[in-house]
Amino acid sequence: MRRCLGLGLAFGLLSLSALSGCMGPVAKAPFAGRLGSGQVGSLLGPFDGQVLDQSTSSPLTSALVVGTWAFEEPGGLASPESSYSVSVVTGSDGNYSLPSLPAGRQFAGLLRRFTLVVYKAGFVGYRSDLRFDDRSPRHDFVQRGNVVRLERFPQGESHAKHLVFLGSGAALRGAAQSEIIAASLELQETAPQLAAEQTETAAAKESH
Amino acid sequence: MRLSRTWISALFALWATTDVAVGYEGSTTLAGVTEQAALSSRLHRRMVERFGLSLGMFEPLRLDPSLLQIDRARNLYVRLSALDAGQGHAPEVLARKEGQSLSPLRQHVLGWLAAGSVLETTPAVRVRHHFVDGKTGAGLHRLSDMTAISASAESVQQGISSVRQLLSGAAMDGTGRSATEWITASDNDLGLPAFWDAYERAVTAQTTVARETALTEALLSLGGLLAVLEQAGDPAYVHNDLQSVLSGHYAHFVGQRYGRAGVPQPDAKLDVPSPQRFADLLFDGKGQGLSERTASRFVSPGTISPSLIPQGSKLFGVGGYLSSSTVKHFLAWQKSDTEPGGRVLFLDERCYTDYATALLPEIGKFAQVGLDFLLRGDLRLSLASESGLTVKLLDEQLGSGTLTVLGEKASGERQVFKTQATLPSRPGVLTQVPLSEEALTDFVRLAVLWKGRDRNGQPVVTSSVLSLRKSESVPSPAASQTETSEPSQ
Repeated sequence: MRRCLGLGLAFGLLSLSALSGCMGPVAKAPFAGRLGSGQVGSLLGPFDGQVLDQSTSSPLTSALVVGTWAFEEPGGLASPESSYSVSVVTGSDGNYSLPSLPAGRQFAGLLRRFTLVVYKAGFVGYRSDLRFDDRSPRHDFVQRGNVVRLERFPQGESHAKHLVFLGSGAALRGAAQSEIIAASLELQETAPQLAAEQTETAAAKESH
Repeated sequence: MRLSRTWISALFALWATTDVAVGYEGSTTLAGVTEQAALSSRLHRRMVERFGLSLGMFEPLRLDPSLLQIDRARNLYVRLSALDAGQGHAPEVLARKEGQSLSPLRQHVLGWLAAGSVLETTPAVRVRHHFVDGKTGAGLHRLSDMTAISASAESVQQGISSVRQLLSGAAMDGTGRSATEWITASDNDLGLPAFWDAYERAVTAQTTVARETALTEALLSLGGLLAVLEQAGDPAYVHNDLQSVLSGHYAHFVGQRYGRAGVPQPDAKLDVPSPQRFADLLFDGKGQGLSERTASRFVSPGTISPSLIPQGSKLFGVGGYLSSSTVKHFLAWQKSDTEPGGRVLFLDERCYTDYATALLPEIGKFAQVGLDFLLRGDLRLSLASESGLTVKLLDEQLGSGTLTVLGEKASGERQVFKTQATLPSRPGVLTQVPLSEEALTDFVRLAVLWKGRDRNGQPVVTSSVLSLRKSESVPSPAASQTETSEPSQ
């Protein structure tokens, strides 16, 4: 009798899960809904904002904006389940707008995080979770009316580290082709040498 | 009654949304440490020298699942498709061609490597083999008060095993192989045997796409091996503290604080000698392995005991911190009327901050040394009409092995020219292979694969390429072919 009760409850829970659709739980967003509002944002979206040139405050056109929703296994494990990305480019007013996570993409797993990446060649890219300058957590990202100020890429800054910071989705890789080549050339100069090259470099320095 | 309780427990686990982690988070911390280690390693130059990838770490490579065994292909595809594209290691899905049941995937070298580190933690049950006791080198083992059944039920409740695994007896029972065994296990699809096999195919496979696919497999294995090593920098994994691994407070804190992109660089000042075996980086029995270093200086929540308070020391006030020679906030304490001894000991965010600040650069350094070690044995090729092909050994002292020389046509097709045994050698000329110029007329590139053992008897697989075109800057096979990716998801 007890076993039957247990199995019945189990079946009931599974049925409820199936009837409730595929939408799984959603983690608490680490960002606000709007700047200055005490209201917590929603990982589901939508997201919008404006991309500006830090030095002139003028809108930046054709900046690539990639939003990614990441799901993890239900049961709370920090084990990836799936992700979904949407990319847009800013218009002449520098504005971007990403829709809410489509219903068809609301997986059964835990919606763990939303990450916004903004890239424009010649500028330091933007991540919604971390700052590039000191790699500290970013606290100024907001869901609606977000303002992204991109600094000009400083001379001497590492392109390789910049690309690693941003991460590489297909859209980003397409937009950052010239920087990928620059990063590769940079590593040819700066990456640790092989043993023989070290010997050769030392010998050259000695003879010099 | 017990059965139905387990059922209900397991079903509720499916609904649970608590923050539970399995050691350092794969998507953030492990991937980030691996990336930083790679940037500080010789990986970039080795990709250029050994595989002719002109963009080195940023060279895009395709993985064509149709070239893998069907089970392996599906397994990899599902796990790779789950990765977080926002962190940059999820591969791009390319358009399928006729006859392909699964779409090819594309990612750059560094991305494949980081993806391997994440894959090592998926499915989560793999982490049972990431434990290595910092004192004994043993793997995960049950404490005396825990049975296999209760451990299995707990693992389902925590989401580390599935209900199906529980019913089939395959759920995690609170035990696991030591990480030092796991890295060489034949059933570890990201282990050392898988790496050596994939590396060999990345040089000897006939077609460009088969070699690229094999190289992505090798990189995934490298990333997986580094992830196992990196876990030895988590105090819970080296103290057999499964509960703390499952509760994941420290790991989650590190993931939140550093993400993937904020993980610090490897500690350049830390001297980690090149090991005799990769496993020595985990545990060498002499106190130099990462697990030993971590275990001797840090505690995990489940291993806190009053014995950690130095004898004779008196704690004044209502609370505070104990320091150690490594960190200022080693352990937090608070006065308590209910606890024996009148105080409770614990780890809080200040402790976690100090732990992560000290541990992450050290883990990164071990990962960098590990990566350089796994790719040791650099070769350089030169061709002269009188002596033929000269193979020079740059760094390692190698034992005996086998050298395979291959020619590559403009179409990318490779064929074996010669295979010959080589004698143990110090850095210098390893061997010379007579090759006439006439024999090379149809070829644009030479590739060699060396397979054997190093001076310590450990397996080594290495390679090099030589362009036969005078002005060629070693074209990259992947970059020279364009493919359309599937429309944005």
